[in-house]
Amino acid sequence: MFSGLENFEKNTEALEKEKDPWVLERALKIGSWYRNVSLKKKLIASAFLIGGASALAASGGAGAVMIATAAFTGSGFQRLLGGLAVAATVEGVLTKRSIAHNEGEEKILGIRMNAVLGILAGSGVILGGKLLGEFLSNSGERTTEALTTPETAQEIPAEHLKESVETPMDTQYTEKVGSVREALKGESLIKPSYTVDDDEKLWNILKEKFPEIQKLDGEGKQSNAIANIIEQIRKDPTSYGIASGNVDNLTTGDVLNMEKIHAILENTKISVGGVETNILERAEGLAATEVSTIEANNEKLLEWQMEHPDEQLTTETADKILNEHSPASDTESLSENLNNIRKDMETAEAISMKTEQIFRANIQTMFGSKGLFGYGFLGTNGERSVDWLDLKDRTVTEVMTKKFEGGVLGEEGGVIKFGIDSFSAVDKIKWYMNMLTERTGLAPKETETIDQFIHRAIQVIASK
Amino acid sequence: MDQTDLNNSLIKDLGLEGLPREVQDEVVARLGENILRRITVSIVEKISPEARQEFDSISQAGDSERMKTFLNGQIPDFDNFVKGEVSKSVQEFKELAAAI
Repeated sequence: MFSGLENFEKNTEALEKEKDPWVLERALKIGSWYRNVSLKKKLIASAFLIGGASALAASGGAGAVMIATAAFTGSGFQRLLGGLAVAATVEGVLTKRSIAHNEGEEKILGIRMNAVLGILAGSGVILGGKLLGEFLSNSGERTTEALTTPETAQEIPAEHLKESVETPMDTQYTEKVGSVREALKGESLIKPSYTVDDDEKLWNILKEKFPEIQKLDGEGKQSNAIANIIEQIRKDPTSYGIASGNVDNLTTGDVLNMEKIHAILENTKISVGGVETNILERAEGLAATEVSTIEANNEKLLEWQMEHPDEQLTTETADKILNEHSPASDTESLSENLNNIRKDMETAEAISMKTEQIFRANIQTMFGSKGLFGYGFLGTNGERSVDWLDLKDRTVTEVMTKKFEGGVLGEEGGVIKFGIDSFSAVDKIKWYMNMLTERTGLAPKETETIDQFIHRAIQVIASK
Repeated sequence: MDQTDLNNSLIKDLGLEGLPREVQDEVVARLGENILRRITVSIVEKISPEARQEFDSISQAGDSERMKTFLNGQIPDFDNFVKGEVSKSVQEFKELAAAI
């Protein structure tokens, strides 16, 4: 199945590459938005999108059209997906559609779905109080309780159905609609603010919250973009919500102005060789040598952090380390590069990010579809792969003693197996665990999970 | 009937029954992204060069209803066009999956 999906993804990429840049840019933008919504919203969007065209469709394609249209409007897409996730009504309709027994039921459920879609899109189509109330009463997180919507067409009188798509009925209904619309308003790609939690670092927050950063290819480019954003924030940290006035020192409870920070990406111009460019373009345009130098400096600062675990890596300390450790800093020809590199590295947050990256990189290499830092539009995030998700919480003992009957072919006979049942997945993790054991001299504890042991071993390696 | 049945019809239609839930979710989510990108390409390339600026303007305004009206003007029988593009993509996926 995954091979088929990967071929499909390759075909998508090839299709896009044939198009002119204006078309390609818009396709990539929409893909980027989509990737940054939650899995639940992705699944709901996919159900509408794909389900709208399938033989099982309830909406006659309305869902696909609505998703596709909303996707072009960015915030509108986010609002729609947010609304779909909030309104379990839609899930109820889809579910009921999947078990409809005859054409009459399908028609009614199709009308309901279109009505709900209409509400969510703010198009003015209104579903009546009773039905909407029933639907919305089932909203919320996953539940195993039965939905209360009628099972058969006979339970929905025709006149009530007509009324239901035309007239609001009561206050409760109005409130419910209001709550859905409020939820729709609250959805946007970038949250307007972010409240800092204990020990959080600005570097990591920017990396996690800004999809444009995640989209950059590799640590070097991401570091460059983040560092340039931080350079702008450094000019007036309090105006961005950093109470201490120091970008290296966020305080628990600081409310960061994420919209203002995000605007830096759009509005700030930096000069590279006399040519003005924006932060993302600058990062994208880094030469391979610049990227490798940034990554090498990351390593140097990581080494320092490992040797001084109780000290905070400040801007001044980082500057000193890089100057001491980089003879090239004395040469005029490289001074501009080094200035950029220092900017990239001069925050303690870089170290924190790097440490976690060792773990992520290894998991990505083993279980991701595109290898180290290669996942993006088409790849699989190793940490979210089904193999890793299945293996990570199993004990080391269980995995290391796993045996496969009948030789090494875990996927023979056309049956795809995953995680603990997959020979290749178990083989990979066994090899990796043996490598970690050999390098660290550590032995797994009796009840230690794969995830726990890997983290413990990486910590030891990084500390050496 | 619980909410985990949300995608049941889709799962069945795509032939993903019997796979672990996580796999189903991953396939559906990734498939959705790809189909969305394909539809985007199909739609956007049909917008006339003169109308591209207007498209971007509506897009930035975030007005889905205006966008729908605009696309209806650019692409004859827009709804069926979208449905057809999705159908083609789903069919291609099914064929690729079956060929493995």
